Amino acid sequence: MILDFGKYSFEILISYLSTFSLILILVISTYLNSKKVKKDLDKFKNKDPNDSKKSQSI
Amino acid sequence: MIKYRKNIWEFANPNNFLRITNKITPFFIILTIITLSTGIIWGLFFTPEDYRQGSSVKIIYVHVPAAFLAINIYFMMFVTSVIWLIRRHHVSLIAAKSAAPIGFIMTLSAILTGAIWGKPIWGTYWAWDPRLTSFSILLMFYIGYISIWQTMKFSDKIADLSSWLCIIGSIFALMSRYAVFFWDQGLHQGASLSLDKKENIDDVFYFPLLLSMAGFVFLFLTLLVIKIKTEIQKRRLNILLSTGNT
Repeated sequence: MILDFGKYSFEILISYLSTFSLILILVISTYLNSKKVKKDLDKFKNKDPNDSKKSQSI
Repeated sequence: MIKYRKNIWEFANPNNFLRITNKITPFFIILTIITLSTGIIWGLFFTPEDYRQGSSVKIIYVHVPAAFLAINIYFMMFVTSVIWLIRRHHVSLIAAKSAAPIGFIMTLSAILTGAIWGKPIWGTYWAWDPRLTSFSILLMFYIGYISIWQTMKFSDKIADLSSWLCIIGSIFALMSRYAVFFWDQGLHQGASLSLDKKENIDDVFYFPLLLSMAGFVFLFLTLLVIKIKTEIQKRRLNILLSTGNT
């Protein structure tokens, strides 16, 4: 079996699984948050076409 | 020298930051995928067992990069917090704030994988060893720093408070790095990587570990840039909403 690492297979697999699960949570939350903010910003800009001057001031 | 300094501070302008990082983010993503997958696959499937630790040594390819980032992200937060306190650059403050959740995840991962690795090698998941203890305190500082930003509304006072907390916590980040040199009674062994080639682990473990570490660093840079961009956009949105409502 490809995932058989001998005596410590369980420890190795749990270590990799826990690390990459945590990283996956971080990546997904970062991506979703970025999408949400971008969508909200676009929605606001479409509502208010005169906002280009305002955004420049930040 | 003057040109270099000017270029560095160009990042302090959010528009310049967004313009430059929009260009480099795809490269960071590609580099993350290449280095991380190569390092992990190489380490996991194409390295031999250690003569003392057996196959459990393969945990090194996630444990060491996570611990390396846990300490260095805090150091980066320390530098950006000092920049905020001295020069009041908002992008540096946002960088510290955005790096904290990544550092927290890396610290948690280093502690978890260390405990899993410790059981077969030391016979225990946890010991109040100097490095393990300083890492758990570092985790508390990450939680404290994130909590400040999660529970309070943005103001310069809160930004100063979080920056001072970060500066105080950097002592523990430093201790996490050098604890194994200060105290000899701990269970944790010395550093796996050293500039002195004699003290380094064998090349057969060293090169996949370096690649894996590079992968983690690029992953951090990718996430950091995306998080900073999101935070800048969020602030723009909040200002637009508040000016739109008045």
